[in-house]
Amino acid sequence: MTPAPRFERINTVATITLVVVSVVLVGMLGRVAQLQIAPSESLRPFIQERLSVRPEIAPRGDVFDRRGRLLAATRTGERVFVDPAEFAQPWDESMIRLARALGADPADVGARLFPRLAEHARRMEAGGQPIRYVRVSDILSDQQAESVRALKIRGVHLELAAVREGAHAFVASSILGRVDVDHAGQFGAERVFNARLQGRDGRLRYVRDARGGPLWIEHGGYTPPYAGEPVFLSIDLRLQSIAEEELERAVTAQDAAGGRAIVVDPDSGEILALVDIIRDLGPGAAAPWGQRPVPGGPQRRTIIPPDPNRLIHPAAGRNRNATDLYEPGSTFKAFTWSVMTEAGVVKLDEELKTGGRAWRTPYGRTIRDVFGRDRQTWRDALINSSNIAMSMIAERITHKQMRDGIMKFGFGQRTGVGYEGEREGRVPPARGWSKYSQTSVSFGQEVAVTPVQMARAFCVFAREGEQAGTIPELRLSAVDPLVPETQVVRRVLPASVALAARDAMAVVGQKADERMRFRKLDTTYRYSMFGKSGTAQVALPGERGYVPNQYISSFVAAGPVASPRVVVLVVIDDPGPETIARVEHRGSASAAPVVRRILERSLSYMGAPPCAPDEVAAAR
Amino acid sequence: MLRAGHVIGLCVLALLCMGVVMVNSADMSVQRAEAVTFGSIIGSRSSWYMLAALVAMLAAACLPARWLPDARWMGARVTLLHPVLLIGAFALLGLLLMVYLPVLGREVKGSARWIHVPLIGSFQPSEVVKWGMLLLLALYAAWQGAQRMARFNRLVVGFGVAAVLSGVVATEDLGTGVLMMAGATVLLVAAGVSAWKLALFIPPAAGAVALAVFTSDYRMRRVTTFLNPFEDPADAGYHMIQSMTAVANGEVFGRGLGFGLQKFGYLPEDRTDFLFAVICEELGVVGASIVVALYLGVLWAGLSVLRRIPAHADACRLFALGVLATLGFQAVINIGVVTGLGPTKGIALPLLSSGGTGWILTALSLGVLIAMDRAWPAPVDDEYSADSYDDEPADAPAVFVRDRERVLS
Repeated sequence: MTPAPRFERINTVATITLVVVSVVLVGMLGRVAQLQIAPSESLRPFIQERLSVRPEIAPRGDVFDRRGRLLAATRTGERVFVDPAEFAQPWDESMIRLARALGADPADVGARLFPRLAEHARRMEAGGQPIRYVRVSDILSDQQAESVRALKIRGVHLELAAVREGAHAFVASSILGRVDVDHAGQFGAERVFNARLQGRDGRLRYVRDARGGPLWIEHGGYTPPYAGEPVFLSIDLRLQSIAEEELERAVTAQDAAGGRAIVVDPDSGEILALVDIIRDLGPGAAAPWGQRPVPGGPQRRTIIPPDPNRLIHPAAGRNRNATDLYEPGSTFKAFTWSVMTEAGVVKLDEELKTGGRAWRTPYGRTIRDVFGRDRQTWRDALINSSNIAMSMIAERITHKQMRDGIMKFGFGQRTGVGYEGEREGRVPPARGWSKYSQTSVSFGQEVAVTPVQMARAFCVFAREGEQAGTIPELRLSAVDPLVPETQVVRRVLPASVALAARDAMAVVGQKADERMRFRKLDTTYRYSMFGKSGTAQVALPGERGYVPNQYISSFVAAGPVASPRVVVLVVIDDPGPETIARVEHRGSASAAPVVRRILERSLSYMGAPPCAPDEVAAAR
Repeated sequence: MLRAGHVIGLCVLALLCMGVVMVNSADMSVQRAEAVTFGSIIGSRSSWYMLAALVAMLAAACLPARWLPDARWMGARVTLLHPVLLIGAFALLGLLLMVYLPVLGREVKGSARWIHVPLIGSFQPSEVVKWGMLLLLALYAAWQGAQRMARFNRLVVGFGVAAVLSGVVATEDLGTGVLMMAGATVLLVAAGVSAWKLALFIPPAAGAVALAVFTSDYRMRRVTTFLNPFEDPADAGYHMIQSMTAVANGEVFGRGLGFGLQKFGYLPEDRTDFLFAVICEELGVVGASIVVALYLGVLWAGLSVLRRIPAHADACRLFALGVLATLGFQAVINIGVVTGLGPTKGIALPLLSSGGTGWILTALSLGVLIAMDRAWPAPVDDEYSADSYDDEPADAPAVFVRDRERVLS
C-alpha cells in the first residue's frame, strides 16, 4: 500500500505547524525569563516599586513658661492649594469663586495664582513637566475650609498642615522664636530646644495603585511618630510683661532709640525675662542737644544696627541681648573693683588721694571724675564710681591679673544660652593689653559686653552662702523642681569680696532711690537693692573716638540686698536729645528707675517677703 | 490510561480554572466594593462562562464525528461553488455585518465587534466566524479532494472566502482578521493547495495588511510604538511598557497570587488581552511555563487525535488542523504582544483572557477534537488501506466506491 498524498500532507503540515508554534511558545518563555532576569536598560527605569511614603509628622512639643502657661502649641489646620493641571477653566472665574470662599481679595489670590498658571501653560506648550502645586492660602478657619470644600472646583484641594500657635506667644515672641515651613525651629527658643521639641517623625510606606491610592503596607513599612517633649522655658510670662511694660515706657519717655532688659534668677541662672525694643526714629531724627534737624546739619546717628528681619516678624529679628555689644562703662567697675580687691593690693578702708576731678597716670594720661573728691576710701571709690581711684589701684596689679580676673567673670566668652548669633564680647587680647588698656578697662572702657554676659557676671555678687562669688550657668529652660540639677558653677571671687562689693553697691542702690525720690518718680519701695550704673559713649563705627552726645546708659542691680532673688539689667540705647539736655541720660537717672520698678514689681509678684523698713532705710 | 481526548479535556479544564482565578485576580481594585474571595470567584461571571464553556466542550465531545460528511458523501456532485460553501459563507458574512445593525450592534471602545441578543446576551460574531469559517473550509476542501484543490480555481474560491470573511473582521479587529487568515491558509495548504500558487496571493495579502496599517493612524502608531515604545512612554508606548514591566516584575515565582501591582490601574486591559502579563507578574516564570505547557498539551494531544483520524475523514482532519493552528497562532500572537515582541493587538489569550464567547467557542471547537478522539480511539495504519473503511456507514452512497477506486488508481 502506498500512503495517500493528502493524508501525508495534512500530517506533515500539522506537524510542521505545531512544531513551529511549540518552538515559538517555548522561545517566548525565554523572552519572559529575559525580561525578568535581564531587562533592557530602557525598561529598567520603569521596573520600580510602586511605593509612596507618607510622613507621619510627630507632634511638636508644646512650649510653656516656667509656670506652665502655654506659649506655643501645634494643631492641624487646612490650607488651599491649586493643581494647575486640573484647575477648572475658565481660570479667572474659578479664581474669583475661590477668593470669595476664602474671604480674600481676588487680586491677592490672583497675584499668587496666575503667574504660576501662566508658567504651567508655558511648560505644557513646551512639552515640559506640569506644575502640580500652587499654595494659595495660609491656614484657614473652619468656616473658610468648609466654604472651599463646598465649592467643589476641580483642581482646588485642601491639605492638612501643622500650625504653631500659642495664646500668650505675642508677649514673648522674640524669646520664643518661630518655626519654619517644615515646622523646625527657626529662631529663638524654638530653635534652641528644637532637638527636644521636634520629636521623631514616623512614616508610612505603602504600595500604591495608579491613582496613588494606598493598596497595602509592606512588612516594616510603618514607623510610628514619637511626639516631641514639652519644654518649660525659664521665662515667666508675668515678669516678661512687667519688663516689657516698664522698658517700653522708659524708652518712649526718654525718646531713646531702644532698650534692653534682662531679669535673671541668680541662684539657678534662669533667665526670667528678656526684652529687646527698637524704636523707629525715622529719617531726619532730631540732632543731639535738642536741636531741630537742619538740612545738611548735624543729625542724630543711628547707633543700633538695622534689623530688617524684625519688621518681617518679631521673632525673626536678632535678640540684641545676646548679639549686640555695648561698652559697659561704670557698671564694669564692680568687676574690676572686685578683681583688684581680691588681688590684695588695696584694703577696703584704705584712703586714696584722688586729688579732685583730674589725675595724671604715671604714663601721662589724664583721668577725670564727674564729681571730684580729694580723698575717698577704696569702698567709697566704688560707690562714687571714681575713675581716678580705679585707675590708681589698677597700677598696682599686673596686666595679667586684671585680664584674667575679668575673664573669670565670663566676659569675652559666649554664655552658651543658645541664641543664634550670640557674640562673645570684646576684651583686649593679652598681647595688645597696654598700660592704656589697664587704665581704661578699670573703669569700663575698651571692653564690650552683651547684656546676658553682664547679667550673668553680676550674679557673682547676688548668689548666696557658699555660692557667693560663683558664676551660674545661664539657662533658658526652667529647672525641673523634681529633678534638681547640679548647677555648674565657677568660682570667680572669694565670697567675702563678693559680699563686700554687694555692700558697697547697696549704697549705690540707695543713692539711685534717693535720686528717684528727688525726681518724684516714686515714693515707696518695699525691697532693698544693690547695683551699679554706667553711662558709656558710643564708639564711632570704623573710626577712632566716640559719637558726640549719644550714650548707652545702663544699670544692673539685684535685690533684696540680704537675700537676692533677681538680677535686673536695663540698657537704654541712645536716650533722646531732650533727655540729655535735662542731664537725665546717665545710667543712674535713665536706667536705674526702670530697674527699680522691674525689681519692685517682680519681687512682689514672686512673693518675696518685703524688707523690714529699717533694712530698706539702712540700705538707703 | 489517559487518551489524547482526555488530555485535551483536562488541559482545557486547567486553563479555564486558571483563567477564572486570574481574571478575578486582575479584577481587584481599590474601588471595588467587595473583596475577592473564594466565594466571590465561584459566583463571578467568569465562573459561569467557564461552566458554559465546559458544557459546550462536553456537548461537542458527544457529537458523532464520524458522521461529518466527507468526500465519500459528495462524490461527483462536487462543484466549484458548492451551495453549502456559498450559503455558509454568506451566513457567516451576514453574521459579521450584524454588528452594524442599529439595534443589535454594540460599539465598544470605538470598534463595532459586538452583537447584543436579548435574553442571550452579547457576543462577538467574529469568534463564531473564526471557527465557523474553518469548518466551512474544511468541508469544502474535503469534498473537493486533493487533486481538485490543487487547481487554481479552487484555490481562488477557498482563499477568496477566507479573505472576504477575514477582511470584514479585520476592518474592526485587524488582529483577529490576520489570525483567521493564518489559520485558513494552513488549512488550505494542508488540503492540497499548491504552495507556489498560494504564494501568488502573498503580495496582495501583504499589500492589504500594509494598506490597513498605513491608512489608519492608530494602527500606524501601534507599529511605530512597537519599534520604539520608549520614545513616548507616557502615551503611545505606555501600554507596551507597562505590559513588559508587569512581566519583568514577576521574577521566578512571581509576587504571589493576588499580589500583582500592575493590575491596579497601571496596565490597561489586564483582564483580557494582557492577562498573561498579570500571570507572569503574580506567578512568575513558573506560572508562564504552566500556561505554555497546557497549550502544548492541547496542541500535541490534538495532533495525536488528528493522526488517528482515517484518511477518508478529511473534513475532520482539516478542521482539527485548523482548530489547532488557530489556537496555537492565537497563543503565540498574544504572548508575543504581551512580552513586547509584537505590536499591540486585541487578541485574547485562548481559554484564559476574560470573554464568554471566546471561552465557549474555543472549548466547543476543542470538544469536537475530543469527539474525534472518541470516534477513532485506535491508532490507524499510516498507510491508506481498505481497513480504513471498516467504519464507513452502511448506507454510504455507491459513488464512494468509485471514488475510492479512482483515488487508489
